[in-house]
Amino acid sequence: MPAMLFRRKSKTNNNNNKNGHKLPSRAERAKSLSDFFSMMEESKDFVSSDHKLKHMTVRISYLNPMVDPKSIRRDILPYLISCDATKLEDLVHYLPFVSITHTKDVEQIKEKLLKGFILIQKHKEDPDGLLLELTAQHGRQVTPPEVEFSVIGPKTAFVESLDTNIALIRKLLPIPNFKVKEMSVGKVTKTKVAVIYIDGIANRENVNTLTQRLKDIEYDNIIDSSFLVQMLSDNKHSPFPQLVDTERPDRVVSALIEGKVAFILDGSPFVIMGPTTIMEFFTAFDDYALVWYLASFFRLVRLGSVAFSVFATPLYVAVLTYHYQLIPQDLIGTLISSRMGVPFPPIIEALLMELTIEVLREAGVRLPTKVGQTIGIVGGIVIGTASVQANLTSNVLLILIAMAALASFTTPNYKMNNTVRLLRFPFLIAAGFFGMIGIAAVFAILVAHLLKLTSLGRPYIEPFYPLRLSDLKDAFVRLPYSQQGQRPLLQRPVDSGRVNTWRANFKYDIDE
Amino acid sequence: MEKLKRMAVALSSLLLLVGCEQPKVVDDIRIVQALGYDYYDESHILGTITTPIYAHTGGSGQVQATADTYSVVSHIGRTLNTLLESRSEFPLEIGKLLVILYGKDLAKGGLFPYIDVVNRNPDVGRTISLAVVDGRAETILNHKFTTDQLVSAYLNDLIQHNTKASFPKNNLHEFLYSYFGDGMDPFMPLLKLKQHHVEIEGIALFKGDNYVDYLPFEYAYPFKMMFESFNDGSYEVPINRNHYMSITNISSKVDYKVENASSNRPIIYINVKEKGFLRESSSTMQPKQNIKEIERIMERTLEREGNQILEMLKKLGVDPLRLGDKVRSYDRGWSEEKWRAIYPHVTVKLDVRTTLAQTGIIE
Amino acid sequence: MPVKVPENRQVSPYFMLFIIYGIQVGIGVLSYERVLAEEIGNDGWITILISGILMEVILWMVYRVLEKNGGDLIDIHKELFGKWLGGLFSVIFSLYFLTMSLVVMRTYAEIVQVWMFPHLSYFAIAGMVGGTAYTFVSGGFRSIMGICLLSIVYSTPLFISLFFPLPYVHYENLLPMFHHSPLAIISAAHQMILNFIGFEVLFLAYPFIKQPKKAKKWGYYAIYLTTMLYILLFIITILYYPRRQLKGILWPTIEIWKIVDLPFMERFEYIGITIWFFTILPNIALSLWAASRGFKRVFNINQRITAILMSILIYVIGFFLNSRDDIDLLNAILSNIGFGFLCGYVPFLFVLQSIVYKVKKRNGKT
Repeated sequence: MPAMLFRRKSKTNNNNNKNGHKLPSRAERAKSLSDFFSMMEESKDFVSSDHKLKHMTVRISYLNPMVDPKSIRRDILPYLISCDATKLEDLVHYLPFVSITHTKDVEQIKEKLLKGFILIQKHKEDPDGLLLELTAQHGRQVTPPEVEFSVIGPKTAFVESLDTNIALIRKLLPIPNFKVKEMSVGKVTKTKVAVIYIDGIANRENVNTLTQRLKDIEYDNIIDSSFLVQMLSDNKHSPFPQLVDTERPDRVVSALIEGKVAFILDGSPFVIMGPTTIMEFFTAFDDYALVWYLASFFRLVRLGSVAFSVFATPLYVAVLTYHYQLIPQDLIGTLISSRMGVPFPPIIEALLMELTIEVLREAGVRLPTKVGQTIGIVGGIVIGTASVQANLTSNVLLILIAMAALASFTTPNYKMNNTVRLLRFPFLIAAGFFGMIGIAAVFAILVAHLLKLTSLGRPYIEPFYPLRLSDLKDAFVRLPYSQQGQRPLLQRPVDSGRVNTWRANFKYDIDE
Repeated sequence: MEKLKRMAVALSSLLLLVGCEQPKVVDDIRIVQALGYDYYDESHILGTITTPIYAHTGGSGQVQATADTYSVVSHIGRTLNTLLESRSEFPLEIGKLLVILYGKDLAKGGLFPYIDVVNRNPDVGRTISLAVVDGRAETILNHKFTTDQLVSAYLNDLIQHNTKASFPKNNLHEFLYSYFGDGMDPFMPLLKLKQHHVEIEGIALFKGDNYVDYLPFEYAYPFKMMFESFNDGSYEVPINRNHYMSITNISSKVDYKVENASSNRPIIYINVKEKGFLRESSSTMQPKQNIKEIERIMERTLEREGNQILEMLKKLGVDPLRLGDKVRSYDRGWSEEKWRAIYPHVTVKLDVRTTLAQTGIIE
Repeated sequence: MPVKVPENRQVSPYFMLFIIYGIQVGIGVLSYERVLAEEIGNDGWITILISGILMEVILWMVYRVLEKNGGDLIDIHKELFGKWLGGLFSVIFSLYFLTMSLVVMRTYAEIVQVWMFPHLSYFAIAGMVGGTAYTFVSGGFRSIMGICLLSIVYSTPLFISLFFPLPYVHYENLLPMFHHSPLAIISAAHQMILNFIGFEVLFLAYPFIKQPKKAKKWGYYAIYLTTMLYILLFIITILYYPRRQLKGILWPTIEIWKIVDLPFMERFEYIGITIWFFTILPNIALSLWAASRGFKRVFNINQRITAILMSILIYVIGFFLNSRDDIDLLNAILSNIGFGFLCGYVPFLFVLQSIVYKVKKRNGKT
């Protein structure tokens, strides 16, 4: 049995009735089921027992931790015991369940049992049973988002249960066009994945691409959606994430209405959406909550701080090492005296400081909260000030690096945050070797990479290239809702009209 | 994966065979901020440089800089650079040069070789100030001034702010423009060390690259008035023998016209329109002295001084006002030699119109 | 059979503007004022205007030749000259573009060496430029269009440098106007060729543009823009420098950048040269692309391999051109070849093609 799990997936599904394979005989099925049972009985948490009813006996099997025990006592046994059924099929009418599967398919029985269903058979060997869904709800309650916190706006975030997550979305999208398609990925984990989209807005191509890619995944351990993101990406080696992840239902709903396709993995509180552009990683929910010019201003501040974070230190290194002529007259005294006595050239100094900050950050993440605060103070203030006084680094550089680190945190998306952190280093090294030309060259290579990047087949740096002026309304700046009458072209939505802008903007004449 | 590995190897080997640029790390260089050339003897010149030495602050915040000045003697030519380097602990960089001073004696002999040096160097900016020193450049550069600034910054600020006020526009670019241009001669400020201050004595006039004479500072304003349009500066107007008024300029616009351009006696009209307001008066205004009269007195004063300047320039044979260029723009057959020949006899008609806009807050 | 390019590799029609503008504005614009002023002085702007008009005419011819054929230059050559001779001409065309990329790269490397990094070896600069250009070429025509667009965006800060000389301009330098003979003015146009060549890349890029008829007007607009830019820059340079000084300044445009004085940064020319890195990337990328695509279309070899080989080739050849004179000579050669191609070969093709078509039509009728 174990060997079978890791065998390469054959082109056709095993024993799938629909494929027209010869159905296994009863004897084969019975044998397969009893093998299964003997394996399961080796685990302590598998409960299997006979119960005597009025006119028949049944055998109830389930995995104890996965089932709500109260429910068995309350919702199954009383009804079973008092019912008049003689056959398995009749039990269906007595049990207070909306959907009970009656199946002879042994594979389905095995699968569902492992997922936490309750199996009712007439006796142990019988490859014919009822499956009831009674899985217990473990996991957290719906809590405010941790990563994508917003000051105003709803404070709900996804949890680890697929059904709860879909419920959260359904609440906001009460339309029949909202479709949920399920499939399973992962050879060992067999995790449920739901592809969701709005039929009639989302482009069929996007849906098909995503579905196809999900089906093509070959891996045994799919625990979190971020694994899936890497496997589904157009370019698996790019530092830029090509599918955006979010833990906010409202964001998913907005995306779906724009025509995106999303998928939810059971067990992961992050929902992944695509196709996406690079600008999506720099938008926060608050952008839509404020007045458009305030929102645009903050968005520009965010973008500016990301640019600052990537370029500030490399520029410092380049200018101080090669291009002293650029420094304004009044600043040059400050810069020189701050660097006086530092034993390293600027590039080494900068690299050391950057690595120190990275170490601090990593350490801060791993430490428990109470200790973490102390480290922040120790690291930031003590180490920083001491190293300046000991002349190991210049205070101007320290300010720059601290500000750059701070500025990189304005990225709302965690994955993009990491990318920005990483991006700084090639620029730094290029600046140390080749000054400003080095920075220009690395930047050109970055641009080349971004130009080729696609997300589910759509260009990644749209709306800058290809230049789609209508999509620029929500890129750098956010224009008022009255201007956003069309859905973005990126997803090539089927239905691109969003709102009747004429009616929305209609103004009465003065004093009318 | 294979492809990535190959690329990585290729790239790193590229780095190895490449010659990297020599770094000029900012605290491992000496930034020359002021340069001075003096005449030493027939075949030698004295070069002086000033570089700031920044003290380490160690986190306290205040920037202290002291000036380090020293001179070397070399043959006329570029060896000056090498000799200067031999005395410096760090490489000398002139990218942040602010000011170049030339001793008067040196200037009389022709300055172009010393200007060409900085002209060719791509590191040097075009807005640096040049000045002639009545005396020796090294004296000024070595002097300890009462201001806590470095001498180079002091000199640069001195020249810059005066250029905004009453002194005509001058920097390396303007000098080169007038030097290379046909029908014009360059000029520079003339500096003199007076006790513990440096003073602008006047405008140093050049014929080509040779210093000939200077216009005293009192004539700077009328000169500037004829040279360019500008919005600042002030001048003195005598009302009568004992009473003077100081007028601040709000806007001065100059306009040129040439007649008989191709002849041997072209007539150049310089029209100046001035708008000023009264800053200070050494006596209270008499009720009958109305604005119109004052304006007329202003005009007459300026015209008189302007004409004095023009006479002086013609006598010296220098053309810093670029009159030759003005004539050239009207005459297709113009040539430099012809201009030089007729310049001392050319007729220039100066006409100044002034308007007195305000008289301050007191009547 | 004219070549067809799949739709997802094509670009929108307005990219015609970026192609032409991107490949024309290159290294010529950094030094052209000097040669033009030396030859024709302050009437040079008329020369530029005339060159621009001439280029529009040639562009019109290029469009006509391409439209009538429907494919690209390889097809045209095949049609007019037969397979072997046509193939030879196409190879020459590819080599022409290879030379163009070599010239641009070497000249830029020289500028970096003179202005910024005297000790930096040619290998490093050319390696960076060539390497980044290759990454765009390997991304296909679309990614080259991307860098064309973006390089224009990145070079907009340079336009502020046009404002800073204004306090120092002397309008008299423009006068007297028209004091050169018309013949002299027109013949000085050959100095401007280097600034306008490049749009022959259309001969290979035409099939990549969607709705070519709509795209035509963008091409005319592009040449109009470059001409205006050159005239404006030239006039400002003339107003700012006296003629005798200008003769000695090797790179007047960069000198003008020296004047820009921003509160947080002095010495703008370093920034300018760095931004110029992006301006020449489209030149080199497009030329390399054109050269390797020419070879691919004639010999059917993998374009990626050709592109890599060609990059290495120009990298190595550039090393052997060491002195100022060599580079000047190279520029002059390219200028002459370009002149021959644009003002000689293109009209020749135009005329030949119309004759051949007329003959074909007549033969078809009878």
